[in-house]
Amino acid sequence: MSDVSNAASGAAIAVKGLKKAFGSIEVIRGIDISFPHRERHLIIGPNGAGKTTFFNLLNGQYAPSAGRIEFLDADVTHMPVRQRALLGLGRTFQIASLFQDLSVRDNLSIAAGAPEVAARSGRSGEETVDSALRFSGLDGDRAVRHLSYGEQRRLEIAMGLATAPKLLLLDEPMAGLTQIERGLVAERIVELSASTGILLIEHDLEVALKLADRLTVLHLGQVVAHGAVDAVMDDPFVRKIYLG
Amino acid sequence: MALQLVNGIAYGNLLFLIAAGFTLIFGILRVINMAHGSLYLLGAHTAISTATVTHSVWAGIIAGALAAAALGALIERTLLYRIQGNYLAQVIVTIGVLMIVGDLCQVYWGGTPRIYTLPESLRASVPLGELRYPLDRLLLVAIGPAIALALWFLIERTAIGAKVRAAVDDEEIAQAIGISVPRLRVLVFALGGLLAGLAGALGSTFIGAKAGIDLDIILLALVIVVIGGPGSLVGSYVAALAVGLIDSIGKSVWPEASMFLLFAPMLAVLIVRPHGLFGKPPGPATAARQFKPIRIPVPDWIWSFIDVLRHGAAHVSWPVAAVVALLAGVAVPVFGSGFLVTVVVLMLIWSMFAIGLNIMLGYGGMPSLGHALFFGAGAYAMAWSGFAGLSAYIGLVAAVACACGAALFLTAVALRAREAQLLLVTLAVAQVVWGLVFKWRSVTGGDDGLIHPQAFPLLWNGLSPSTSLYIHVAVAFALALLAYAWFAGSNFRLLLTGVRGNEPRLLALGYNVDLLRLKAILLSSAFSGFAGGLAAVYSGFAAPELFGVHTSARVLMMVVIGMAGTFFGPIIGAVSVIGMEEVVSSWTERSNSLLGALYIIVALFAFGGVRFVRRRIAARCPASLAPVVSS
Repeated sequence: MSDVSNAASGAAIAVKGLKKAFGSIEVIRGIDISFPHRERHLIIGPNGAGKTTFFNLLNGQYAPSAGRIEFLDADVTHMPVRQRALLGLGRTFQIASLFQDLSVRDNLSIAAGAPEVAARSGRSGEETVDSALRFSGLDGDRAVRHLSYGEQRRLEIAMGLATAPKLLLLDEPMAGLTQIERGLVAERIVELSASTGILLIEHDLEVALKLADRLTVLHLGQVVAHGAVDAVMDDPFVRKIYLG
Repeated sequence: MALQLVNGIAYGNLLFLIAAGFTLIFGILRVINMAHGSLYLLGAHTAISTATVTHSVWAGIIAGALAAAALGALIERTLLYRIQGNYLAQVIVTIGVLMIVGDLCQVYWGGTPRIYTLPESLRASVPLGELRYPLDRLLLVAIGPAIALALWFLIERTAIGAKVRAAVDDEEIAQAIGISVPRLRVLVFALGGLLAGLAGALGSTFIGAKAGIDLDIILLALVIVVIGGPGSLVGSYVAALAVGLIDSIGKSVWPEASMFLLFAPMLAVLIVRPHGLFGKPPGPATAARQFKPIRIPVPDWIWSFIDVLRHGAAHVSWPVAAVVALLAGVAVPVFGSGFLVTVVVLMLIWSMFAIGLNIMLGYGGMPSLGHALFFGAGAYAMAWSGFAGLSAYIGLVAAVACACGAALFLTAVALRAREAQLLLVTLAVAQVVWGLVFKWRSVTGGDDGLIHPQAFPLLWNGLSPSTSLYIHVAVAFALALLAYAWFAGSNFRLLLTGVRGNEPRLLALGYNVDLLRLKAILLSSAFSGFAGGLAAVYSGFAAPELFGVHTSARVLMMVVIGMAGTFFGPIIGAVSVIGMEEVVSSWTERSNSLLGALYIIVALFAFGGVRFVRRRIAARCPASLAPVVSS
């Protein structure tokens, strides 16, 4: 439970007293945390810990019940999803959320053509699409609905890259993939972090812990540990949650 | 005034009976039942005939209600059951039923309006101030609330009602715990029909049964349901009373505005509370359930023929296609008869209209049952430009501008609506404008329409006017096609496909989805208004029917037939629908029935209710595995 105090001092994203209740059920029960720039930060927690809800609050899908969210030192608590995206907050989805009717290239060019992307990346849309296509390793002319599950996940991440975000929220990018595909996706994430900060939710600790700089553990809507990977994994409470 | 008040309340209660069945079916099954007016019409006709034959009013009421209930159950069991979850297909199929039933009623009961006169013994009246008020109408004031209570009790307090609610909440789980959802659906439809038939029977003494009443009824039900909130019985009751009062008092105070007075409150409600006074925003759409389509085996040689066509189409080069089109375009006036030229002109105009809808529905995924709004706006703008002494070319610009204005008006209410709600809203807005045009005689010529002098100049001396019109329309079509091709290749089209496929993702990427939708509707209206302007020149007048629901349904049909979302789809659809209409109407007087049947068949095919399948491969070359698999 460290690192809470220096919020708003150059953090990529910081939240204070964040709460979210659905009816009488409080899913996020007061989170204070900040994530520095240019980090690969892993968020873990058992099922129902509130990880995806936390992401949904960060990117504006849900409005918080209480608390404050700052992105790049600007208050975005009440900003709609679209406006946060314009500021450079990117996100991929747990269930691949692609444009099924279009080709791989069309998907990427929608991502690269999004407002403000060209200004952030300093490249033309064409260049961004080409590099994202290389990154994904997919054939640009294939229809998305004909891609395998693993290929769709790769495209999902490539789309995150194509928006040239300042911070990218990756929600379980490896769920449902084979061991080999996981390795490929992990490589992509490391590659990606050269240009953007990454917040990552992942269940596969074996792969995810290797690529994370730092680690946060959520449990029942609260942060129970936060800091360097080894330190957090040695925390007795975390061991208790994970190992019983 | 007291008379109008009582009249309004009695009428409002009748309206409630009409709307209750509609809102029940929409609220529970999410079906916009355009055939609701048919149920009313059948109920009224059956009641009148039975009562006349048996001399029993009660027998008439019961027969009318039961006939409509049976028809409702039949529609669900035979047709709608196959296209569950597809509101667009349901709308088209029920419009088909509306056309057939209306037509057959006219065949069987004739075209003259029938109003039932109560036998002397049952005629009674009560004193109301200086006047006497007929008792049978006053009875409605008691029947309406009684039915409302009974419905509430049925749905909220009985085992069947609980099953229905469970099925609405989660159909799969309801099935899994042993509730027969298909049977419940039939039951709900029968109940909806029963209410409509009852309304028809009770209304037969003063509304009566006549051709066209079915459409009026569906519009009234629509107004009430939109005001009260789709699916809300309380909302329907309140809205029906309000509409009844407004209609009754309005007619005596300000007769010219009656149609407007009916639709204006609806528009106000749509703007302030998009889901109606008592409605709730719809929950997430339930996934279309898997059901078994009817399979029709087709011989292999037909499939190979289709494959050859497909293969050929993929290899047609653009220049060749353009030359062929040009030759065909020249051949029509040179070799064709005057009749053929007229039909082709009509086909080209409707193709442009359908292209407009395809942009919205096919590419953008926004269904519209009010596209006639743009077509009519274009036509009237053309007529007005003729009166103003402007040339027809400027008239076309005015037509596009007027249609875009109408689109802005529409988006003010419709931008946030989706899917079935959007169908209701577009239909409602188009009806408001239709009502205005119908009644605002000084500007629009009212129900006579406007006969205007607008025409394209003859291109050279000695050219026949029809050929000159043909050339103008053909050139306009070519221009429209170019603009359409530019759209289809544009980045905007890509984004629009994105709106259709995955709106949340576009939002998360930072796109302004509302703006994209607005642009799509504007572009769509421009094409449709352009076509409307040409249609006004073609026919020489602009009539309120251009704004009517039949126009909207027809263009929707074209887009669906041609497969929405494909480039040439709307053109193929327009050509085949108009071609078939011409053929069918030359065969028989009952063209409405045939076209209605056509709508139904096409919708069932297009949306997977019926499928053509290849003959089973096993039949031709029995594989060695076959016995293992089949055992």
